[in-house]
Amino acid sequence: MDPWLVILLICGAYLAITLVMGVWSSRTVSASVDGYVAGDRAMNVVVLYFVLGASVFSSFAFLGAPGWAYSRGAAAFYIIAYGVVGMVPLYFFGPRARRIGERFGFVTQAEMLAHRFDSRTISVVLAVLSVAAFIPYMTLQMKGAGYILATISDGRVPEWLGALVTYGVVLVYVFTSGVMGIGWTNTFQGVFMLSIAWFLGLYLPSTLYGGVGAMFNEIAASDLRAMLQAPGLGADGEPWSWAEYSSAVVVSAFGFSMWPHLFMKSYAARSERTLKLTVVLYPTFQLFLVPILLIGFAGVLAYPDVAPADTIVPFLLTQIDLSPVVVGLVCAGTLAASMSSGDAILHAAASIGLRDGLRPLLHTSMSDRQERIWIRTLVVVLSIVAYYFAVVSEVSIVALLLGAYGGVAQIFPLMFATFYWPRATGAGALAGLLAGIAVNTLFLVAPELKPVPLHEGIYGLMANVVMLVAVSLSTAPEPAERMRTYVESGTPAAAEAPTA
Amino acid sequence: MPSPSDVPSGPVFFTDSSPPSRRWRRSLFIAIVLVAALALIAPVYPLFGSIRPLIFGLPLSFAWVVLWLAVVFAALVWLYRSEH
Repeated sequence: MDPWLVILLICGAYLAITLVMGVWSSRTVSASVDGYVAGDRAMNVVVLYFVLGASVFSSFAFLGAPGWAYSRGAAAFYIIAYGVVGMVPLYFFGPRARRIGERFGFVTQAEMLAHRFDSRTISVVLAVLSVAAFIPYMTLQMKGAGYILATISDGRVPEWLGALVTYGVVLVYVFTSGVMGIGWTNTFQGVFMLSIAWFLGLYLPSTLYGGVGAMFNEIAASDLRAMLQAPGLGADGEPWSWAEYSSAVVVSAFGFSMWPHLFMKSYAARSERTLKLTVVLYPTFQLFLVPILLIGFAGVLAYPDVAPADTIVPFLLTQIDLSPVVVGLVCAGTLAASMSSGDAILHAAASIGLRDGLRPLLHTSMSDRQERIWIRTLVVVLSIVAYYFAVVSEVSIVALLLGAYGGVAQIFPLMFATFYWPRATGAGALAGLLAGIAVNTLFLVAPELKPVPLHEGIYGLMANVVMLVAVSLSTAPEPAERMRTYVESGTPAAAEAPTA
Repeated sequence: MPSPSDVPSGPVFFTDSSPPSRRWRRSLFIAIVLVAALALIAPVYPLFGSIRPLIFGLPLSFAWVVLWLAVVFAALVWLYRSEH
């Protein structure tokens, strides 16, 4: 049997298993919005750990990151850097959000912020922001999937078809099972991804150079040694600027825990302890970026001129002398990375679009059943929109995500103020959010206007904080009772006091 | 907070019921994380951004980042265990 056929069959088997597991898991949660969106708030540490890790690591990690290591060297280290500090806020925000969510029945990030700031407008703005950031995030996952299958099959499976089949599977299990579908499949995918990353990351440098140290010594001795020097290379091949590297780290660090689909997992945790433990253990998952980047570095001298750089991983797979079965498993793992983020993002986008966007906008109450119908409709609609862009647009994976980060980072000041600055008012929060989004978007589309070459998110954050503080202090404080709820949400007893 | 009808104008990180041990632990933890964050960007990271020495086969620019991943992980474990 031709190798590529074996590989495709394994990928197909993987997709089938995921589909079955995902659909079957719909039997284990209550048929309610709580069940669909928050997994009945009962996810245990193991499942939550893999949901978080697998959701975060995606085509960005498996294709984009090694692509950067391959083409830009040390610039790729920014990805590890922001992950180091980016998860920490969730240790503090998560338990508070969970407690408040349990008390008031919140399942999304915007619901809580709208309550804290007494503003339906904030909810709608956040919903639009979230969906706007999610679409490119989904698009890059779909492109990643299409790319993998196309590259390893030598073009026999065109990209549009690979993306369609892969995300057809995702669509079905998200549609039927919501977040529990994600939980089970992510556990499976998480184990897969970890094993494969470590295996390839150590195997490749070993076979191509004789070891990790030997590999870096060779690169250091070559013409390309500049790429190993921090902060690596820019898109133009010249050394990247420290301002851009540092600001990319800072903006991504602020935005990381604010991604609505990650943040809302706080509501799904079984307990505060579970949630915190997941945050604590997260670096162990993150460590796998090390072998992932090593894969990218392994391609530098052995296979120069692979373009686009995002394809270095599937390309290397076609070059090394491994059994097609192993290659098939590796491809399935890369698909897993894409799907495990795509499903969480799709699910969150639909839930948020309905609960935080459409419902407050339409100013109507809906039955639980009606809500689920709407969410499912959105699941289909958003899939189609993201798929359209995946097929039609020419985008770079990392650039897309870095741009989206500028947007989600604007949520951070509001989240911080929610718990730690009771003087922040609805008007201030809205002003800050809108200013941040506006400035971020301005410098994203017109970078030549930047005074200093920094990530546009930094400018957004500056405008955001200034407006948040200035407008809050100029408007009347929010009612003290509600502020008390949030300020005291860090401890159990106070948060359960029988007041509004 | 001072009284039910009063909203303080400054930040509130700890409630009155929060014991001193919790306060200093959390403050120390945040300080460690901030140190890590600063170490990973300019102007500190440039001082450790060279290729050599290789540490466990990784260039210093790479190993330095992994080091701080380990530091924050250790701090998280410490904080979690002290609170649970």
